[in-house]
Amino acid sequence: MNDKKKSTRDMELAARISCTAVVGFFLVYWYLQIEDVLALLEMAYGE
Amino acid sequence: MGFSFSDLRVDAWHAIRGLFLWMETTWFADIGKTWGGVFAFVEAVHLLGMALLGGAVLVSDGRLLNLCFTDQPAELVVAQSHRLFVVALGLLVATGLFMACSVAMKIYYMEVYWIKMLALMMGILFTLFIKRPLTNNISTVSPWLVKGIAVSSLMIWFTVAATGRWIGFSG
Repeated sequence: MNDKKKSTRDMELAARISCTAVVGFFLVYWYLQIEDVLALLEMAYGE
Repeated sequence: MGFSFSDLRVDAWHAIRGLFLWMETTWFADIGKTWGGVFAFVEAVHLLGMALLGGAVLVSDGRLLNLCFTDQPAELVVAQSHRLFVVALGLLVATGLFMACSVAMKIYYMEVYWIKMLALMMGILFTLFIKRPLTNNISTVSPWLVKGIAVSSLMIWFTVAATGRWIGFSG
């Protein structure tokens, strides 16, 4: 029972770390991609 | 993620060039290049698989976020949609391999293809090793963590779908 509780806690910790990493990574990634596209549009069409 | 941001990624890319050269010599590649209609048909099936996978992800993550099917137990909705997810993933991988063989060297040099593959691996690992085990018994998991898992899953699979479409625009 204690082993099962510990394993669930470990799983939860792994999930918290991976969710934080995933959300943080993709927020930065998509922000940079949108910045790139905006820069391209500015080059093509001006302000 | 350590792999994505290290020299290991570049070394791996150089190492698998031979595999992609070989893929262009397979009969999958011959069929796809000779009969464009076959390639188009397989691509259509690939898109249907993507729709099925997207639907399974939206239903399960929507339920985890209490946006849909709230009259059904979350474990049931997630378990049932996971079955569809696995079928869709099998279909996507099979059709994806066929198409990759036909345009192997083109996609080898396409940055967005590798972003999609990394996101796909992340999605598969996240779904099988984080989301699925924890959603077997949702009542024992913190509600905020459940929502965090749903949001992460949506972000990953959205990136897979978007980069997949981006490949189409990269021609």
